[in-house]
Amino acid sequence: MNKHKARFPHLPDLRGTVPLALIFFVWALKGHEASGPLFQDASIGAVFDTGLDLVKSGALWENYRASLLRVVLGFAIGGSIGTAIGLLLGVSFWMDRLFGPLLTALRQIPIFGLVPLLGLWFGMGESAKLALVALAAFFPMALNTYESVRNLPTAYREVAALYRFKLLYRLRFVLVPYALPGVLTGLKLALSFAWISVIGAELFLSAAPGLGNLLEAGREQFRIDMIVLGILLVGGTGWAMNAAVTALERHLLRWRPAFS
Amino acid sequence: MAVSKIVQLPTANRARETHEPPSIAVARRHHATELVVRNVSKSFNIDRRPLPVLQDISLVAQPGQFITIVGASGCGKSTLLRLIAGLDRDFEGEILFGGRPVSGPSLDRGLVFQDHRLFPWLTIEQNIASAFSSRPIDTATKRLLVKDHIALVGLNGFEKAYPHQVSGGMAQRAAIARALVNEPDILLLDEPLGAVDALTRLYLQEELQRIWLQKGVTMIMVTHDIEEAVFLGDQVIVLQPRPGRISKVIDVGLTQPRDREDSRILKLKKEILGEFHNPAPINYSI
Repeated sequence: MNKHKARFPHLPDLRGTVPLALIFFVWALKGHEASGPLFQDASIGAVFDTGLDLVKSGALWENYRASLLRVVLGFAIGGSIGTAIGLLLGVSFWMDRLFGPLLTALRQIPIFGLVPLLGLWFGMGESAKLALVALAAFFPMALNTYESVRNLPTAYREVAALYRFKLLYRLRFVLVPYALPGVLTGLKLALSFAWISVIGAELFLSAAPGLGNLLEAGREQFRIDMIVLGILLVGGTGWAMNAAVTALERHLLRWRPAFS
Repeated sequence: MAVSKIVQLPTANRARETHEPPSIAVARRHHATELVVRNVSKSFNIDRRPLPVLQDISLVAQPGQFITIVGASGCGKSTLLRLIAGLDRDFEGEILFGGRPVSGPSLDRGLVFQDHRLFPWLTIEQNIASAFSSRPIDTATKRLLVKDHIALVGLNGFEKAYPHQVSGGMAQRAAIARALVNEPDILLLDEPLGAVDALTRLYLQEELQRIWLQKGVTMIMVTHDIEEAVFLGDQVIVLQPRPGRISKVIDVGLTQPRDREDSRILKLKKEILGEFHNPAPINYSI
């Protein structure tokens, strides 16, 4: 797949960790001084201690779990509806003509611009937060599914017609595998958007346990260490979700030349 | 035991199972597999103006016959095969298979495209097996049929390979196996060797001939290679382009397999080549 893999077949590719290590190095060296370039007053040790305290008191897990739960639920709702709608519009000419323009218009609206409206409909509590996350996951899922399904080449349609594939077989062995790469790209985007909007929802809507809440508390109390801890957790979780989907992609798309 | 199961299948390949010579196998095939193309014309609408691609095409393919259609690009060769396969139903004239008008694709008529059109996400084996997804056959029989046809096209050992892992010639052989696995009465080949290199091409021509002799299936092959057409065909149909029309029908009258260097083959090649150098007057009014 690349030169690194060819040269060192048994070593994991750790090149991506170099910039990260550099930042940590600068941070450890000078970043926490009062006039330092990165995080004033927050040394690596201080952030670590804060993290330990919050773990001990159970506050960290409470906030983290609340955010994870929101992203899982919101993504499950928005992602599944998005996939279904994308599939429907992709295979049906009539549905595309009827609802395509509406979908295109709706996706132009920035998601956080909908916060007041969602507040009006769902209140400022948990359901509004879930609705925002679901919406964030909905669009990338729907659009990517729609595009991939619609682009099924005539060549494959003809083979399916020639061998008289039945509807279910056509879906399972032609349409789904063909659309899968695009759908998985949508999944990556949707998960990432959902995670971003979880933190946004927690900051914009009423206070409740969550990583957004942790960040907000840090801001109110001028606790840079808490903010840095929150940022590390949000970023790390986003990276982990992306890595999980990439692994899934590698497995599901192993028939593709680039992945084998 | 397994073999007897295959023989019981109504469309099973009896020629190979019982080692009958192909001529007998042909005679045993039901007489109702004759293909008749009568006065077929077809035009496409380009920029809202009809552009004729096929004009008054008539031909008859007897069961077990190998017909080659030779012509330059743009003479509507592929279009004709698509009409016979039932992929395109918008034409004038009549196409009858076994006495009944062709109204859509059928497993009785196989088609091999110029590009192999295997599904890249299925292995060679799964690609071949996909051809009988719509037929109620039990799994054991399916497995045997797939195994038989992989052996027929010489792809043993590549059952679990994905299409991108094998060469173009091998992929095309897998596509031929996919088209044959339903034991169709007629196999339509749309420049199946057009995309493989010259050496593989010569080899696959002989393979195709062997498969034809072994299976006793009617074949109609479209090509732009005159030697290929003469080497393989019982009958060679020469098409002239714009619009595609038949300019000559040649009955080769030599037994198969043939020698490429046979003087009669070389003479026929020359004759057909002359057909292209001195084409019939072209109607420029369109």
